[in-house]
Amino acid sequence: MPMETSKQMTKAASKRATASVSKRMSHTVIEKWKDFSFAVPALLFMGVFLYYPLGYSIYLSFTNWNMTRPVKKFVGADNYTRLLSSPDFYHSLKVTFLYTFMDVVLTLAIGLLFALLLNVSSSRLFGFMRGVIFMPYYVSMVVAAMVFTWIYNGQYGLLNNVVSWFGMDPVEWLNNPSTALPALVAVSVWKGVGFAMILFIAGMRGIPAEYYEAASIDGASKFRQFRNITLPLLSPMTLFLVITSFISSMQVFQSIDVMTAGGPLKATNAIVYWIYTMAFSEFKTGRASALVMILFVIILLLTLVQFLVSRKKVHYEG
Amino acid sequence: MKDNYMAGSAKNRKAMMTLRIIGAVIVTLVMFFPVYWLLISAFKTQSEMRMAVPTFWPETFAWQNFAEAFRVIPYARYFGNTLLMAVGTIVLQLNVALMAAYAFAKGQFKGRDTLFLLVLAALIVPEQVIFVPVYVMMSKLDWLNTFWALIVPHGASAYAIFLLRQAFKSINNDVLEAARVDGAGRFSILYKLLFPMAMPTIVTMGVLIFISSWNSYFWPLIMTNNNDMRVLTVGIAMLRDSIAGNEAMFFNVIMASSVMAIIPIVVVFTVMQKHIVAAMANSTFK
Amino acid sequence: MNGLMDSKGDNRLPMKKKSWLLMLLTIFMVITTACGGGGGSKTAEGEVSLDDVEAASMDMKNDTTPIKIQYWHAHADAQLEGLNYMISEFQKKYPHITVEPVFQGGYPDLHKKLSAAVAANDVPAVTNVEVSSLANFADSGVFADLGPWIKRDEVKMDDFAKGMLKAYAYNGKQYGFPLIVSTSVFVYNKTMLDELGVEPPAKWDEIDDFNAKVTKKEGDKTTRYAFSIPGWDTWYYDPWNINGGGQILTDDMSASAVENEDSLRYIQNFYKWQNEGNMHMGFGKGASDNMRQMFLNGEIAMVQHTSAMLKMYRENADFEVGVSFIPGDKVRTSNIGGAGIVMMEGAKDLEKEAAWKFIEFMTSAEQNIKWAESVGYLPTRKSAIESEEGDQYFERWPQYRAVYEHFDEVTPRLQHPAYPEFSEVYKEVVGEMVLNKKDPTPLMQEAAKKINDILADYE
Repeated sequence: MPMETSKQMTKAASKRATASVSKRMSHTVIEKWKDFSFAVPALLFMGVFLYYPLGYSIYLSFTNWNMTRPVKKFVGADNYTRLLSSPDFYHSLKVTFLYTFMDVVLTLAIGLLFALLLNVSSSRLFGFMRGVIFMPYYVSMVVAAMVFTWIYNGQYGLLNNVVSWFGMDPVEWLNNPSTALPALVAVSVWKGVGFAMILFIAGMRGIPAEYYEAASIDGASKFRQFRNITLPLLSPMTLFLVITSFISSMQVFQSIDVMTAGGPLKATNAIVYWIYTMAFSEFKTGRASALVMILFVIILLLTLVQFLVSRKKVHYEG
Repeated sequence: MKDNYMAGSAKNRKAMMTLRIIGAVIVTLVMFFPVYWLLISAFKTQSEMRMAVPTFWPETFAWQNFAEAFRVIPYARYFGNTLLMAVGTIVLQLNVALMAAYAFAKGQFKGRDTLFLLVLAALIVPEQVIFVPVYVMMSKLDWLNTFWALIVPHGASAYAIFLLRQAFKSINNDVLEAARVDGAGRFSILYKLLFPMAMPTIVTMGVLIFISSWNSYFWPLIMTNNNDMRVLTVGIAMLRDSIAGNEAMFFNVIMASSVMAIIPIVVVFTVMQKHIVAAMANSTFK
Repeated sequence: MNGLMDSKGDNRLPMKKKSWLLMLLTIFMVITTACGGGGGSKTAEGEVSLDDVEAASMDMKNDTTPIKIQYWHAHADAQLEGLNYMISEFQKKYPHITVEPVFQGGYPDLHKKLSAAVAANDVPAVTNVEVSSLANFADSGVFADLGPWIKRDEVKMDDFAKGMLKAYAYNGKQYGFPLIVSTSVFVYNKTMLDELGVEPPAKWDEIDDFNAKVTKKEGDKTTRYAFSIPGWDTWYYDPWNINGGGQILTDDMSASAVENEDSLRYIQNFYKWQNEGNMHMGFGKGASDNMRQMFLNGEIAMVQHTSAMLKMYRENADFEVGVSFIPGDKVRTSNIGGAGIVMMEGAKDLEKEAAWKFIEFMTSAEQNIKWAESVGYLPTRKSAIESEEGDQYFERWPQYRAVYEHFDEVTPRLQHPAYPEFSEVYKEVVGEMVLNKKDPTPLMQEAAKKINDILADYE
C-alpha cells in the first residue's frame, strides 16, 4: 500500500491534489497558525544553529577579527576585495570546481552503469552484490581516508604494486600535484557510487514495463530503449543526484583534512578546507567569513542554474 | 523456424546473463577490495606491512594490533557515545522533519513556499563555516562536552525535511480529509496516518541519518574537549596522532581500530540490508 | 547564559579579597626590593626583565582549597607513561590539586582547539604550545605572563639553557617554560660512514667532498644519497638560511629578507646538491616516513631529523647510529623545536596558581632528566645536566653529547605572530624545487612579495 502510493507520486497528480484541497477546505486563521506551528521547530533549529551563525558571518566578514582577540575592527569590504584580487582565491575555486566536476560526473556515470548491470530483481546473488557495492557509502570518511592513504602510500602502497604490473614507475599519489586531486576524487566516487546505483535502480523499477514492451514490438534496439525510455524517465532521479552531489562535492573537507591537508603545493586546497585553515591556522576569521559568504553565493547561484536548466529537460512520467 | 529462433534467443539470453554475472562479480570485487585491504592490513605485523611486494593474506594474524588499539581507545565508552549520539540525532531529526514536512506538504499558511526555500537553502551551508558561533553558544549554555552539543545543533536536516515532504505530497489529500472529518487532529493524522504510509521514506531517512551521525567526525571533534565524551571516529584520528604522528608507522594498528569502528555499522547493514535497500528503492527521492 | 553567570559569581570572591591582598603584596614587594630583588635572570637588552613586575600573591600560594585543572596536551602515546608518572608525583606534592590531562591531537589540532576555547572564553588552565606558534598566541594576549610567579618563587632562570627559555618569551615577557625540547640534527649511519672512512661534515665546504665519497649512482640514478634534508617543515632549513649568513625577515622584522643574496645561498646549494643527485629532499605528508625508511634501508647515509626521533632510529636500525650537529658556514646553529608549557590568561585566579605550580613542577631541575628521558626530548636544566644523574644519562645516550657540545648554538626560531602564515610561502618554493624541479632563485623573488603583503596585512 505505501509502495503504491509513493509510486503514484507524480508532479501533475500532486498539483491537482493541492488545488482540490484549497477549494474544498476553508482554512480559518487559527487553522493556518496551527499548520504553521508544525514548521516552527525546524525553523527554530535552523534559525539558531544555521542562519544566526551565517548572519554573524556576514557581520564578521566586514571585520578583521582574529578569533583569539576580543577586538573586531570594521574594515569595510576590504576582505572581499583582497580575496577577489588574490590568485589563491581563483586557484582554490578552480580546485573546487575541478573536484566537483570529476566527482559528480564519475559518481553518476558509474552509478548508472552499475545500476544497469546489477538491476536483476529476482536474484539473491545480485541483491547480495548490490549490498556489497553500497557498503562504502556507510564506511566513515575518516576510515576510508585512512585506508586509501595506505593504498596510495608511495613505498608500500598497494596501488604502486598494481601499477608496477603494467611496467609503470611508482608514484607518490598523494604527494604529487597532478595526482593528488584525482586520488581524492577516487575515494569520493568509491564511497558514492553505491548510493547512486541504488537510487537509479529504484528509478528504473518505477518505469512501467509496458513502455519497454511497446518499444520491443516496434523493433527498438536495447540501446535505443535505454536512450529514449530509461534515460528520460530517470531524469528526475538524475537531477536529484546531480544537485545533492554537487552541493556535497563543493563542500569537500574531510578527505582533504585527513589525506592531503590541502597540499601538495595547494593542489587540493579546496574552498571549505581553505576557509577552515584561514580561520584557524592563520587566525584570519574575518577574511574567512568573507570567503564563506562568497562560497555561499556561488553554490546558491549554481544550484539555481541547475534547477532552471533542468526544468526543461527533466521528464516526469504520466 | 520459429522454434529455432526461440532456442537461439534463449541461448543468447543465457550467455548475456552469464556475461552480466561475470561483470557484476568483477565490479563487486573491485568495490569490496578496499574494505578487504582494511581487514587484512589490520592483521598484518609491522614488518609485513612494509614488504616491497604487499601480501594479499596475512602471514600470521597479529591480534596484538587489536589489543594495542583497545589499549589506547576506550572502545566500549566511545561505542556507547557514538550510539547515543546517533540514536539521539535520529529521534530528534526525524520528529522535527516529520512535523516540518507535514506543514510544508499539507499545511496552508502564508509564506509556506518561501520558508521552505529557506529550509532548502540550508543544504548549501557546510558545518565547517558556521561552527565558531555555535561553539561559543554551546559554551555559554555549558553544553560543551555533553550530548546536547552533539545532537541539538543537528536538530533540523534540510535533506530529511525535503524527502519527507516529497513523500507526504504524494499521499492523496482525500485520505487526510476523511481522517479530518472523523475528528482526527494534526498529530494523529501525522503519526497514525501519514507515518505508516510514508514508512519506506522514513526508514530510509532514519538509515541515512544514522550513517551520517555515526560517521560524523568534525562536529564531535570540535564540540568535545575531554576523553570521556569522544566518539569512535574522533578516537581513531586521535589514535593516529597519538601513536604515529605524521608517520605511517603504525598503520596496522590504525587499520585495526578502523575495523572496530565500522564493525557495528556493517553488522547492522548486513542484517538489515534487504529491508534497507527495499525501503530505499521504494522511497520518494525525486 | 548559565555559564556567564557562573563565571561572574566565581570572580566576585577573589575581588573582595583583592584589596587587602594588595596591601600584603606591597609589603612583600618592599621586602623583596630591600633584599636586593627576587629571582629572575640578569638579562641583556630587550630580554625578559622582572624589575617592573609585581610578584604574585603569597596568599594564593598557600591556599589549599581543592581545585581541579585541565592540562591540554599533544603528548604522543609514547610520552604518556612519563606524563602520568609526573602527574602522580605532582599530586603527591600538592594533594589539593587534581590535574586532568586531555590529549587534543597533534599540535595543529591542539592549537585550533585552543583558539576556539579562547573565542568562547572557556579555557583550560594550562596547555602545551608548539614553539613556533607562541608568538601568535602571546601577541593576542591568550597566555598569561609568568613574571609575577617567577619573581615570587625566585625561579632560577639562568639554570635553563638560555635559548630554550628565550624561545618561550615574547616582547620581554616570559610566557612559558620549555617542556619538551628538541633540535634538528644529522642522524647518520655510523657503520656505513666508518666503512667509507668519512666523517659527517661540520662545514658547508666539506659537503661536496662528503657527497663525492658517499653518494652511489647507477647511471643517472642515485642508489644511495649522501644526505637528506626534510622539505616539509621550515624548521629544518630556517637554520640553514641563518648559517649561510641570511635572514628570513629584516632586522626590524618589517620586510622579507628571503630574496637577499645571502639568504639565497642555502637554497641555491640545495638546488645544486639535488640536481647532482647527492641530496634527497622529501616534501609533503608522508615524506617523513619515506625518508626514515630510506635511511633504515641504507639508501640515505645521513638524514636531518628532530632529535626526538633518535630513540626510534636506535631501536629500528640494524647499524650503529651517530648524531652530528648540522653543519655551519658563517655561523653554525640549529633551531629549537618541541613544545612549551604555558598558562592561559583566561583561567581563574586559583586555577592560575595551580597551573603555575604544575608548570614549575614539570620543568623543575629535580625531575628534568627523568622527564626528558621518558619522553625522548632534551634536558633543559644546566644543573640537571651537570649532576650525576646527567652523567648517567649521557652514558645511556652518548649521541646527545653532539647536541650538548653546541648547547648555546641551539637558538629560538624567528618569532613573529605571522610566522605560521608567511613561512608557508617560502616553504612552497622549496616544494616547487623538490616536486617540480624548479629553480628556487626566481621563485624566492615572488615569494618575497607575498611575504611583504602578509606582513603589511598584519600591521
